[in-house]
This record gives sequence, structure tokens and C-alpha cells, in this order.
Amino acid sequence: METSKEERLQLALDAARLGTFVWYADDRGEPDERMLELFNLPKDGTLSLSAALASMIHPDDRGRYADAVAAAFDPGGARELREDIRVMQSHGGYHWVAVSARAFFTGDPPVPYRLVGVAAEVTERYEAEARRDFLFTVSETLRALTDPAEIKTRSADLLGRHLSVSRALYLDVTHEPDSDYYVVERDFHDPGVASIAGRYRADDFGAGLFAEWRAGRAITVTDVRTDARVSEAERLAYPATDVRAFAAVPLVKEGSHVATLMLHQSTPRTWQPGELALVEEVAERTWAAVERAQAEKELRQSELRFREVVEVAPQLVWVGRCDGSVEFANENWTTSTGVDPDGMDHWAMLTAAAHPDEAAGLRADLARAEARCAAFEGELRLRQRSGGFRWFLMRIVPLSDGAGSVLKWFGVATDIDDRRRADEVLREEEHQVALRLQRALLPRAVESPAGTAVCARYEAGTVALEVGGDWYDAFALPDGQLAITVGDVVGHGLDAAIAMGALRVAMAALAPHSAGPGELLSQFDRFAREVDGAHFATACYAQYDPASGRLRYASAGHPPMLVIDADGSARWLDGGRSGPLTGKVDDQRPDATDRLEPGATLVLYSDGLIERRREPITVGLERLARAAVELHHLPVEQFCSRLISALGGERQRTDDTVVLCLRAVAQPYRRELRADATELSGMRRSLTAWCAVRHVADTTVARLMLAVGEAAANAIEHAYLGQTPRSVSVTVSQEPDGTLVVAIADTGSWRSPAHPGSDRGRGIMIMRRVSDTFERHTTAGGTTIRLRLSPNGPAA
Amino acid sequence: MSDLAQIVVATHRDRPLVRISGELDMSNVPALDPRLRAGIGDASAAYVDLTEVAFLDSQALSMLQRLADDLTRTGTALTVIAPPSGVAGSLLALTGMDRDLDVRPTLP
Repeated sequence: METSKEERLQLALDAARLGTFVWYADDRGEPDERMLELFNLPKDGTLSLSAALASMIHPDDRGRYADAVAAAFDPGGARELREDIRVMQSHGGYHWVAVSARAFFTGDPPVPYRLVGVAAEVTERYEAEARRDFLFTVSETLRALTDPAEIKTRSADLLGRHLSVSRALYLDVTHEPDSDYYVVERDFHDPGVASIAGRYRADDFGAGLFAEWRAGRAITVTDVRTDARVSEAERLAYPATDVRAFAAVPLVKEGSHVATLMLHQSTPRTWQPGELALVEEVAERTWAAVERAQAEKELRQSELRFREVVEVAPQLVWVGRCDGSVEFANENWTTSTGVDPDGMDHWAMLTAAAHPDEAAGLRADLARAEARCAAFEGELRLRQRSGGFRWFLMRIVPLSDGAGSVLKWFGVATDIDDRRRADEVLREEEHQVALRLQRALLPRAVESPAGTAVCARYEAGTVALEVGGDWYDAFALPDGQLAITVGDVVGHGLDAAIAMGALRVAMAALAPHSAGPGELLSQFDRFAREVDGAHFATACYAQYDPASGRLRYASAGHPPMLVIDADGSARWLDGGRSGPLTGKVDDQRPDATDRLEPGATLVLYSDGLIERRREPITVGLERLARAAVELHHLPVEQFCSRLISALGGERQRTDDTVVLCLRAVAQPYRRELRADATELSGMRRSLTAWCAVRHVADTTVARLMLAVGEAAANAIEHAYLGQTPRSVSVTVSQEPDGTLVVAIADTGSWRSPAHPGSDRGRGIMIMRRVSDTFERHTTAGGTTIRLRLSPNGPAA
Repeated sequence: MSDLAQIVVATHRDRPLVRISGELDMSNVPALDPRLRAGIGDASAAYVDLTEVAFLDSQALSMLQRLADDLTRTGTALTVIAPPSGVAGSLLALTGMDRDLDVRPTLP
């Protein structure tokens, strides 16, 4: 069957639920049936446009629609109309209707003739938009609230107004032994009904309805009088609360009914599916908001508790945010450090309080911790507002969210100043014990046999616990040779000092029985196997024969010995070398032979004298040689002291240092004078030569000449008067500190004691004035005059 | 006399100037004493220059003291030349003799 075009068009319009119309400019209208339905118009005959506008269109939309029609009839305009308007329906409500039309004109100039268009209901779209807007408002409103009770109240209030109900409320369910209770804190209610805020026993309500709630199902009742689910008792109770209809959406969490969002209507009400969906949506959002607020409230309370706790805690506590700002620092922080955290970066706050020596290191550590999101822990000094610094143990821990990004940095600093100071005292005490032990284990004084001047100096490291294992010794061997040694045990502290003591004693015990330095070091190495801490110790050893000037020496891994010859030139003894002590029995260690002429000085030392950080050892050796050459003119004791102070410098010594110097000196000056004045000038000449080898200062030589001259002249002149002249002996020796010891002895008997003013009186005065001490011993066998002249004695 | 010490006699500002150099001790003082006195002679003022003395002892000091005492009695002015840093100057100071004698560091 063929369908006409018109029929096909009608089918399409029906399918789209579109109404069509033609309105003429003279206000006649030709709406189709659907159009009449949409506009709720009577189906009898035509209707004027103005009448339709006046009666059916929502008052708020009438003016807008009339303007739109007028615009469409303007020949200079778009000649079209598109408006959504609300149209009153028979049940009193409004539908949204979308109208699209085109204006047609006749003649020239054009005159409006008619409007042809279609209309469709778009209520659903508007309701969906309104619902969206409402839900947006609800969310925004709730989001700003922090109090759970207020969230519930505001939510009920918004929903109640939006749906124009008589009452809207949240009831919380509390589970108690006898029954569940429903608690309504506040409710929304229109002026016509009363509030029902209060506490209600669940068992008093109908069991059937509330079983649905407990199962999590929403309930809607259009009219309590007619609803079969409502019990008779309830039916009688509802009028008291002005409830004819209600809708209820329960919240069930973990199988338990915890709350219900409830709407009351004082008249029967058919709850539309969209309305129920909206209620469920609002309930959902409200629960979420309440839970969020509850969590925040708990967090606030726990933060409050946290702050209360940290304010009374003795520690310094602070919390830094990710953006660097200080979220919180307890009172202790400010009162202790005096650093005001306000407006500070929390990392900068810490470095500002740190000791200047530690601030840079701390800054680097904190930057590293921040970059790695890792905890920091360290001991450091913090500024005190009261002045000075105290030691703190600082811990900073990142607080992360579940995903691993840092939310906050939580810091605690505990005052450990007392403990640190106690530790320091303890360390210092141990240092002192080690030092005393080392001093006890080292020889008190070294011997200087005839023909030698020996001096040793030991300087402990100045850094706590850096007492080292350096040793030195000088002792006479049975054959009259002098043995000298310097050694160095690896390590520091008490253990090193003990090992050092054992090795020194061993060396002194072994030396008399060894054929020579090489054999001694071999035996020494075997012994060292049994000594804890002796592994890799180094030692050098030398034997000197003052009679011949012969020197034999050997070195086990020790820096080379230095010789400054009498002419002031330096040379290293680089023979007789073998490795450090390892306890391995191997071939005999080698030794070497050398000579020390009178006036030459042999220098033994430990590496503390030459080693400096970040410097090749050769530089230290050159520095030692230069200093030794420069200081060589000094008596050996001063030479030794000045050497150690010149090379130690002002720096902090981290290692201990030993210097042992042996100066070869000729035998003491001895001369037997005939009791004859002509002997005096020869004596002066030979004594001057003796002094020159010993680096005796010119002024001291002049004093010596006066003193010895006077003493000898006295003896020559007075000792043998009236007797057979015998001899006068003159002896001069030099002590390690440079002091000259003079003895002038005769075997005669003096005629008479000296009287002041005489020649002899003047001679005695001269002797007294140029000497440090003057003694005259007279016995039956003769007279001896003893004088001491120190390098710093009375000026000549 | 040994050659330990030398004596040179000259004139300075119309006065006798006796220069002694070398070493003076009990071995040569007895011989030096008369030569010193001869050099001064009977002048009314004289200089004794000890600048070049390398050594002298209490015997030499006594010789000098006796000479000064004798010249004082005859009214002769004796001026001793001895720089304080020299051997003679320092010994004169050490013994306090520089206070009794007219000691000058250099020739006027």
C-alpha cells in the first residue's frame, strides 16, 4: 500500500513526539493535535496566540516568548524563533517545551504573514540539568563544612527545599543492647509541621518497613493510610507527626544499618523515580562528606593531641611542609634556639640554628635527604638563645602518603649535650691514660756516654686518642758502643702504646746479644710475631763507637736516618734497608756502616716529623734536611727541640712524633800544663779549637778563656811557691745542653787565702762573673777549681 | 818577651798614644809594663788604646790599674780607649774598672 507524503511526515512527527503549528499574523493558529496536548489547549477550534500565551505559558517565560515572536516577524532579523518555555499542565505543574519556528513574509516591503514551527517536550532534559545543578550546590555546600552534624543538617535542608517536602532529616542509628535507637539531631521542616528531633527506639517502629532499611533498600510510601506495608499501630501514630507520605534511603556499612536520610510529606505524595534517585544521590554525597569531616575532625583532634604532647616534650619538635614552609615548631624550639620559625623555610630554620662549623655540612645532608625522600639523623650543635651551643641528636623523617610522595617532614632534636660532654671527658681521660702509659714505657732520660751528646724528644699527637706507638731508646752496649733506636707501631691509642712498650724492651734485651744491627732486626722481627699490634711496625737502629767514630745501622721499613756532618752538610743513610716487621722468618736483614766525625749529628725520627697530609714524603724529607742544616749550630738539646717545633709548626699534630739526635763529640779537653806562665797561650789556642768543633758560641768561648785563664794563672803563680813546680791540669767537657764543665787542678798548697783588691781577688771575681757556678776545693793533695758555663749564662 | 803582644807608640793630639794589640797574660805583662810606661814618659796626658787586644787577664788589668794610680799621683791624665763590645772593654766593664778609669770607646 502506498503511503502519501503527508502520511509519512505524520509518522515521523509522531515518532519524534513533535507537535506542529502554523500561526498567522492575524493571530489565528493551526496547531495539530500533539501541539494542543503539549500546550494543554482545548481541542475545539482555533485559539488566538495572545490568549494561549496569557493562559498557558509560565508567567516568567511569557515576556521572553513574546519578544522572540516579535523578533522573528522582523523582516530585517533572522526570521526564526527558538525558545524553551514552560507550559502549564492539567495537574498544575509545568512542562518544558522547546519551540522552533520560521517566519514567512509577503509583499514588498515584506509584511509578516505566518509562523510555521514544531514543538517538543524537553522537561526531562531540564530536570536532569536542574538535578545536576542541585547536586553541584549540595557538593559545594557540604565541601565547605567541617562539622558532621552541620553537614547532615544542611544537606537535609537543601534537599527538603529542593523537593518541597514537609520535613527532611538524617537519623543516625546507634546499636544498644536492648534495641537500635534512631537519633535525629536536627531536621528541616516547613512552617506547617513541627520538628521531630530526638531519640527513638527502633523497635517501636514497624518491623516490616525497617527490615527493608536494614537490608539497605530505599522505601517510598505514597500514603500511610493506604499502604499495606504500614502496620495499624504506625498508621495511628503517623498523624501525630504530620506524616502522610515518606521516602527513606538507608546507609548500610559493613552489614550494619548506620543511618537513614528521610523525607516526610504531610499530604499524600507519589515519589517520582527521579526524585528517589536524587535522594539516593544526595544521601551518598552526604555520607561521603560526613565521613570526610569525621576523618578530618579526628585528624585535627589527633594533631591537637600531638601538639599538646610535643609542647610538653623536652625535645625540639617541628613539622615542615613540602613547599618548605614550617607548619609547626614547638615552643621548645624557639625558647631553646632563639630562631623564630615564622616565615622561614624549615630547612633554613635548621641551618640557621646550627653551629657555623656544621651549617654547611648540615645543609648538604638535608638537601640529600630531601632529594631522596630519606630520613636524616645526625649529632650536631645548635645555637642556644642563652648563648653558646649544645649538642643535639637530630632526626628528620618524611611522612609519606600511600603513593610514596612526601607530605611532610617531621623533625625531633634531643638534647644530648651532657652525654656528649661526658663522652669527651671519657675520651680525654683515655687519652691521658694512654699518654701516661706511653711516657712510662719510654725511657726517662737517655744516656750520653763520653764522646757523645744524645737527646730525645717525644711529642704526643694533640688530637684525642691519637696517642701513638712511637718509641725511642738509647743505651750503652757491653763493648762501650752506644745503641740508639726509633720505631713506630701502626695505630694509635692504648693498644699501640702497649705494643710499643713491649717492642722497646725487646730491642734493649736483644741488642747486647746481636752481632750487628741487621741480625738484631731479624731477631726483633721474630719476637714481634708474639706481640699484638706489632705487625708492620717499623724501626731503625744504630750502634755508634765513640772511640772510633764508627757507625753501624739498619732500618726495617723506617724512613732514612739523617746525618748533618760537622761542616753543616746533610746526607741520608740509605744503606741497610729492609721491610717493616711482618713476623716472617726470612733472610737476615742487611746493615750498613758509616762514620760520624766529631761535630756530626745523626738524626733518628718517626714519620710524624715529616708526614703531612696531601704531601709527598720527599717534600717532608727535604724540609727536615733543610731545618736540620739550619739549626745544626745549636747544642744538641736545643737542636732537637727546635727541630721538632720547626717541623711541627702551628698545625694540629694528628700523629705523635719522636726525634732522637746523637752528636759525635770529641773527648773532653784535657791538658797538663807545666806550672809556667808561657803555657797559658798554647792552652788558650788548643781550647779554642776544641770549642769550635762543639759549636760553642763566641761569647761563651770568650768567657771560657777568661775563666780558665784566671784559674790556671792562679795555680801557676801560687800553688807551687817554695816548692818544686808540678803540673796544672785543665779539663773541659760539654754537656748535651751546651754547658761547659771546667776543672783546673793543681797538686800544690796555696800560700795564703786571697784578699779582695789584690790581683788574685780580681781574678776570682772574673771567674765568678763569667761562670754560672764557681767552686774551689782544697785538700792536702791540692786545689781544684770547678766552673760551669752554660750557653745562656752570665754575659762576658 | 814573647810575641804574644805588640806595642806601638805614637802621638795623638800632642799626647803620647800607646797602642797594645795581641794577648796579655801573666807571661808577658811583666815585660809589657815598663814599655808601656816608657811610651807615656813624662807627658801630662796620654792615651792607651786597647781596641786591638785579643785577650787580657787580671794581671793585665792590675798593670793598667797600677799605671793609672801612678799617673794620678803625678798629675798625668790617662785615657783608655776600649770599645764596650771589645775584649778589653767588656772585661773593664765586667770588673767595674770602667768606673775608675777614663775609658772612651774611640780616640777623641
